[in-house]
Amino acid sequence: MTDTPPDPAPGALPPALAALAVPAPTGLADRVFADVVVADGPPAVGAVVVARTEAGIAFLRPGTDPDAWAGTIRERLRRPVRVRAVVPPDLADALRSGRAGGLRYDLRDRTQFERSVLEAALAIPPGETRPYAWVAASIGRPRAVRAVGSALARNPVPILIPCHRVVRGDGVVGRYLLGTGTKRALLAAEAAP
Amino acid sequence: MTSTGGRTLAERLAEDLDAAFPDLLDAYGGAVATTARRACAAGDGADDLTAETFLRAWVALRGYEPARIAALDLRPWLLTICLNQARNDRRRASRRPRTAPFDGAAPGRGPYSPSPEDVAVRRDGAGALGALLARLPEPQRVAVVLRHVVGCSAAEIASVLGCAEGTARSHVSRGLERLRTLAPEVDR
Repeated sequence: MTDTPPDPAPGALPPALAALAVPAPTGLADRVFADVVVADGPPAVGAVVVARTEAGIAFLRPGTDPDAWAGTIRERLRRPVRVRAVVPPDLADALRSGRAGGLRYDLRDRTQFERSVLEAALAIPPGETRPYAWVAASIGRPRAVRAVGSALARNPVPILIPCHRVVRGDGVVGRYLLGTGTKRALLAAEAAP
Repeated sequence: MTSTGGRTLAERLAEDLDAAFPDLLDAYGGAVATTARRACAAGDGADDLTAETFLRAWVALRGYEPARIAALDLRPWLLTICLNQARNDRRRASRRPRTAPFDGAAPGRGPYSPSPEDVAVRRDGAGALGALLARLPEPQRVAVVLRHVVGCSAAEIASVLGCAEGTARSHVSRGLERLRTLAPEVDR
């Protein structure tokens, strides 16, 4: 830069002012980027692409190519994407065990109702199922059974948030955003009744 | 200008936004953080404001044609986003219903007279000078911070404030003058 504004009294305040500069906040890149990894999902699904922001896990879809989902992830999370080689251990454990309630999730782009539904689903342990009506009742909206179904169909983090453990009241497995066949296979592998 | 292999950072952002974005954070994270803390007096919210500035910058860059990105003067462009975002945050905060009763000090309080944020500035180790800066009228404070804390040129300050370079220079000198009146004890 070529020009420097004249300083009316050089040597007085400016050095004290220069000392007020601060560095970039620690972890700035972690707060800006979505980290994307490819991890091993349950056998019924195979590899999954998972995106995580500083607030938590925000996106999961079956796949082996992170670049194939990068555009969708950018669009949904409105942030740049960084592909990482190492799967965080807590994520690998949750995918292996089917117990993912201890992870943090970034559901900021969901409505309050959708967040409640997803949180209720998160509490269903592997090996068990609950009817849609149970989810509706457990969030205090017993009449909103259909809306519960819609919210689960829009689950941005299937498998980890186990919407596949929510089934119809008459015992039929019901619809699933990754296909009814996958839902049946996931439940069978978890030895659900 | 930050350049790699003869290309500027702006040109690399134009070519592959996400690949070059970490370099944008490295190059200007400090300048944005300093502006957030000192020019916006964002106090404890300065780190959030810094991250939000880069997220907004990314959203904007995604919508720009490559030629427009390549021609950007990145530092003043980012600092402008930061200042606008801080203004939006303040507007939103002021629309929230008051939870505290009206106090006697309020009528005299312009947007930049001492506030809880300034108290936060005082706590962050910068001492009295950081808090006094927050008492300057906005264009003067922004001009002084950009010139003497961030190290911007008059042209960059003019671009951020949307004024002529001569006006930017006079905001800097008036701001310094006012600081000296407010704080003879921090002169050296």
